[in-house]
Amino acid sequence: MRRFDHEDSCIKCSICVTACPVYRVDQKFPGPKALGPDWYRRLQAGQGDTMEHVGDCTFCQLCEEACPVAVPIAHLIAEHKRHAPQSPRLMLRDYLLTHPQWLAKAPALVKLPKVLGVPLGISAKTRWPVPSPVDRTQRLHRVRPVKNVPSVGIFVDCFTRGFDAPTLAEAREVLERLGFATVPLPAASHCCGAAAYASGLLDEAEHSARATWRALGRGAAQLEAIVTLNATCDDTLRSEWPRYFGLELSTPVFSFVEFVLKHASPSLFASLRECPAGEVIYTHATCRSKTARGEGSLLRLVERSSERPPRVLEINCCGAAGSYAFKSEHTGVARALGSQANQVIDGPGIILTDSGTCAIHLEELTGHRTLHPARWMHAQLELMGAPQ
Amino acid sequence: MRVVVIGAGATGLGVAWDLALRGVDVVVVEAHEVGVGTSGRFHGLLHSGGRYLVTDPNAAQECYRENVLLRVIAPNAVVATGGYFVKKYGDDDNFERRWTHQAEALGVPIREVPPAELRQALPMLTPDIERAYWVPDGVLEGFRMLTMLVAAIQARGSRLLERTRAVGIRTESHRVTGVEVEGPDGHRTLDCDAVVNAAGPWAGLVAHDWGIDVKVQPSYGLMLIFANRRMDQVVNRLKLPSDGDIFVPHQEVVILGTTDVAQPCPDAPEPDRLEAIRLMSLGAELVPDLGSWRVLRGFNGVRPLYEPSGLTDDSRTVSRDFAVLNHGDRDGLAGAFSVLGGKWTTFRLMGEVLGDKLAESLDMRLPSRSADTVIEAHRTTQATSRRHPVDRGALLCECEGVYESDLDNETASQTQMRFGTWFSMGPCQGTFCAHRVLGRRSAAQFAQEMAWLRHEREHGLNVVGWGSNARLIALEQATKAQTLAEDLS
Amino acid sequence: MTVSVLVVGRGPAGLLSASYLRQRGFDVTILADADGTMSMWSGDFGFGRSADAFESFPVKLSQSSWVAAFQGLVDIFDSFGVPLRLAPPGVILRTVTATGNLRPTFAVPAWQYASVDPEDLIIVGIAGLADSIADAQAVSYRNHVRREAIVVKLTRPPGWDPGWGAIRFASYLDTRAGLAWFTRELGAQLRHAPRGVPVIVPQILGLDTTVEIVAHLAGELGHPIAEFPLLSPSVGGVRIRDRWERSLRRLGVHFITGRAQRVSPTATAMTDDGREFAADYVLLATGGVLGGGASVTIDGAIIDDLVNRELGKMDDVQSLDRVGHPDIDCIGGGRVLAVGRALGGWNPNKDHNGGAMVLGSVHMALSMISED
Ligand SMILES: Cc1cc2nc3c(=O)[nH]c(=O)nc-3n(C[C@H](O)[C@H](O)[C@H](O)COP(=O)(O)OP(=O)(O)OC[C@H]3O[C@@H](n4cnc5c(N)ncnc54)[C@H](O)[C@@H]3O)c2cc1C
Ligand code: SF4
Ligand code: SF4
Repeated sequence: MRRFDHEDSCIKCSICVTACPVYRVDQKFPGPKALGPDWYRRLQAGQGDTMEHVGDCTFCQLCEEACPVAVPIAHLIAEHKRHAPQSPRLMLRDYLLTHPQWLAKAPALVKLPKVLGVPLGISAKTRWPVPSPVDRTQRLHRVRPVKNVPSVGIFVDCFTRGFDAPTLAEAREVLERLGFATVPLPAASHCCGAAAYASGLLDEAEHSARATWRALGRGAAQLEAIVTLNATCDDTLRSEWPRYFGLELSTPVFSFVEFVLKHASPSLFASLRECPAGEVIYTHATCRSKTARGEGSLLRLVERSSERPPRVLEINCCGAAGSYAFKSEHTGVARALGSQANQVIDGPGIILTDSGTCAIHLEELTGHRTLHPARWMHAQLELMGAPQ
Repeated sequence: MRVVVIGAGATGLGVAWDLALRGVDVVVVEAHEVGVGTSGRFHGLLHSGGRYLVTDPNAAQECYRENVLLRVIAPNAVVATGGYFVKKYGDDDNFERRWTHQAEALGVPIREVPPAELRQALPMLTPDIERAYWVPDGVLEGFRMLTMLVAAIQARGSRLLERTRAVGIRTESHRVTGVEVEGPDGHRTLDCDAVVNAAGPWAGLVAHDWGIDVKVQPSYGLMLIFANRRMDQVVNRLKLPSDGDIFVPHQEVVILGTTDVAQPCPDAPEPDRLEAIRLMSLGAELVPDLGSWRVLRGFNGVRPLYEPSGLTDDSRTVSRDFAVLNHGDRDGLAGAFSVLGGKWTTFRLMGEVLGDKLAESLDMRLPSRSADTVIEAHRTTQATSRRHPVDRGALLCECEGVYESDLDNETASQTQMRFGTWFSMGPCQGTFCAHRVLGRRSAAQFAQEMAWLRHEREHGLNVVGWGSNARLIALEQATKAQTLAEDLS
Repeated sequence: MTVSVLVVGRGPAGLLSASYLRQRGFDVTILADADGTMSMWSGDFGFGRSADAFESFPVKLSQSSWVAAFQGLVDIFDSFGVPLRLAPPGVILRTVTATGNLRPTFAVPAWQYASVDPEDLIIVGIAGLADSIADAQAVSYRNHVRREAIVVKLTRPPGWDPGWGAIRFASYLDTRAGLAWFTRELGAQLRHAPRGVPVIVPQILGLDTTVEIVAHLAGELGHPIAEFPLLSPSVGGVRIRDRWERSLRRLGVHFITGRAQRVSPTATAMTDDGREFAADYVLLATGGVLGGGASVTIDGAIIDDLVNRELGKMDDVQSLDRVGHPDIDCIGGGRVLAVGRALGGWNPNKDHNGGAMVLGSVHMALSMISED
């Protein structure tokens, strides 16, 4: 049994239940309070029979964010998942899905589900990512810090590495435009452990996290900052690593959006706003982006960079949730959650979101082009032309 | 033959059980409700005797014997968790030597535990531990035991009258023939052949009503309940018994105790915040991180220590042993008995000894059977867990998992219901479940019962209002005052 | 230059401040580390006895400002789809609680039962809903107001299981099948009930479609129908919170997640993870002990860590409801203002907290900011 800070603080207010997106769309889902603190208390008393449907939690952590007394609800639920029995078939699947770094190494493996999907419990409905051309991802990793120019690390998460090379490339160009040299980290494919944690594979998560932390190693210490492209990895590095695995990074971690907001000059924003307004922008800060930093930063970035006021996609969690939507038993919930976006969208436009898997999911369910904010920024800067 | 027992705590019910098994017709009268005295406000430790090896060998031996016996005859109400006595560096070596020696002499099994084993079992303990011993301590599920005893004596035709206060006795030629009581039906006299004063801390007052002088030394002790069961075994400090040196895991909580303060009156005093803070810092000597454990409530229990020589200031020195007084021999009042002192762990033995004396004095050859009769598990808890989920009805108390179907015992008092189900005792302290349960019990008594329960819960919350528990209190107050507007009525 | 305001806290005071400030064109950021207490209460703004309440309130607002404040509240709630019913000046509305007590209030969402004079009622009990204790509720009601309370009971809905709380019931009633079930069952129970007597139902009439459900039921059943509030998580509060936050997002309020650790008199807030937020003003809508605006130490000191000030001592359980900052301008300098529960308790009923404090203090703060 693992121990957690504030594991016994629950005051039973049930606010977490009101914040949980799955509870709203799935009548069978017992909700965060029952699955988290209530269950954990029984576990401690030796009556920890696991509950049905615990696996249906997306690990979005919105419950935790809402809790007034900082109960690590989602993490207690992950512990619950760890105790829950799973068939060998699904265990194999979960194991594969929680090692996205393998997929990132050989992205073409995503074609696999077509063959193995159904027997393994992989959703046939959820859209899979398209692998990025291999040469491009590889080449990017040869860069070293540049002398006399502030260098930032850019955390290349497994998804971006394997499937979203354009976001990585364009994010780097944006940062370089702000006057930073960028160093992609870590050199080889690694996973921060978020995917495994979400599935209740806590030991795997710790193992992955440790390996990644080591891989970031000394190199990271010489950098001004580490910039993340995916909100989940951002939160994992910044708060879960130290809290749950005792892994500290001496370099501060920022999300791409916050970093740009902090370092772009007012004059740059002013020039951006003078560009002709493009399409309507819908912003969707992912659930983990909300819980870790809040959606206000993405909104502000778009406001600063464009004359046309952005619209906030008022959904809490789109249901993609890492590997969640790829599991066949979750397809229904994942689609129900993501489809809520259509109640807000009332015309053409593009969606900005800070996670590659959420982007694919939202794009499929809304029919709207969905991009990482880095790519939109990049396009805006191109529109603006070369710096004077 | 009919015997009236005064007091429905562990001792009274133990006496009633022993007598009922001998075929005696027993009526237990209780001024309040079952277990509201010391028996419902105790530490939950099934003593191995370890604590009294040096200071009270007699009590130690009795405790160990009963400990072994209760595991057999009441398996549903005791948990053999095992326990440790730990000696910190600097604690008295001499005490340790005497303690191990006494264990051998008295036959209480102990085993020295390598530090690594202790750390594995109880990683939260201070690393400052020099030596540790395993002892057969356990947990006595007091609430469950009381519930089982009530059901068991009722099943044998004896009766329990709650909210019935014994106010005097009727005698004929220096022999008791009846007990005068005041209860829901007013004043009346219960005919009997003998009366047993098992009124715990109040025993002195009861005897006084009979015109007899009995020296009971009430001494209260504060205990703190932690919200979660963060340890699985009992932990005692290996030194002269003192304050804040025992942790007992009890169902879903851990209880830290206790203090020992002699007091003149038998009623439990309001718990005091300064004492709670003191207990926290004493507890932290064993569990350094104790400050991060959420404390749910504090409560005082009053020990009914028997002091044949009169009142004292230092109650730790009063024996934990018990005494049975035959007031026929002692005071010339035939058929009147008192059973005094003792521990929860020895409740059965006290019943047996009293039963023997009583039988002997009435010249009956009725042997005790309580040592080899199993006390059955409580009916409703078993029935509920076998039910189909939907038939359990709505979930009323989320903390302790109490469903509508758990309330099917309509005759039970509120206290019995709480002891039987644990509703209102979890992390919300009744904030959310009080009205749900009491509103279903009795519409007519509802407001009154709510007020009583709220008051009782707040009493224990107040002393430990810090950290997240302070926020619970704020929520409880807002729920009570605003959402339900209870104090506006 | 637009004036920027950082609102710390996402409870009713934070949300209300943000609404007003946005209306007036301020740049608003809400920084909060958790949800506020909005979802713990049903959203009716309590406000004890009318006349002398204005005097005893620690925020000195004129009677006309109060009227304006209440009207502003009505408009804001209206803008996101929560119709409010306001007590006429000098009159107190009373709402019925789940335990059958009466509670004074000034502004109630239209779906919640409230009346000026006590009247005969039909109370609906619902099997399978833990908070529904209609018999006991009716006895209390009769004892308090000496009016009749008739109880009718509905059986459990299809598909029910013991884990169903009020939110589950409400989601079910949002569906067509759920509403049909409820209409049918309640209709059957009311067949012999005296026509026209108001019917009160536990707060489960939908999360999203409540206004429509209430209208539908009143039409079908021939009784006025309204809800009485349940405990946290209060469906009534959740309805308001969801609609309110959605509308604030639409209005361009920036929601930031984080725990403020220090606020300086120059209106800069520092979070515990090292982020810094500078603004022209900071509103401390951090709530009381429950909301997290104050914490209680082991020796009973009640402290606002954000501005490092002891607010009082915990003597008994009731102290927690009373303490707060004594002044809106809580650290001096006029740029850090305390609003809502953070400002100190003021119970509509007794001396606890209440919605009126939220309303009054937000208005006061607003006028202080606008005057500058
Ligand atoms: C159960 C209940 C029922 C009630 N019923 C009624 C009623 O019927 N009528 C009525 O008028 N009133 C009622 N009230 C009272 C009313 O709810 C309160 O007066 C009101 O909620 C106070 O709101 P607030 O915004 O000031 O504080 P809160 O809602 O407590 O909000 C505090 C916010 O501040 C945030 N925060 C705190 N510290 C920090 C920090 N350092 N950094 C970042 N964020 C921070 C918290 O996360 C939270 O978001 C009720 C209250 C409760 C609890
Ligand atoms: S976990 Fe937190 S939000 Fe959920 S009921 Fe407990 S205290 Fe409330
Ligand atoms: S992590 Fe998300 S899905 Fe899981 S219980 Fe919490 S809010 Fe619900």
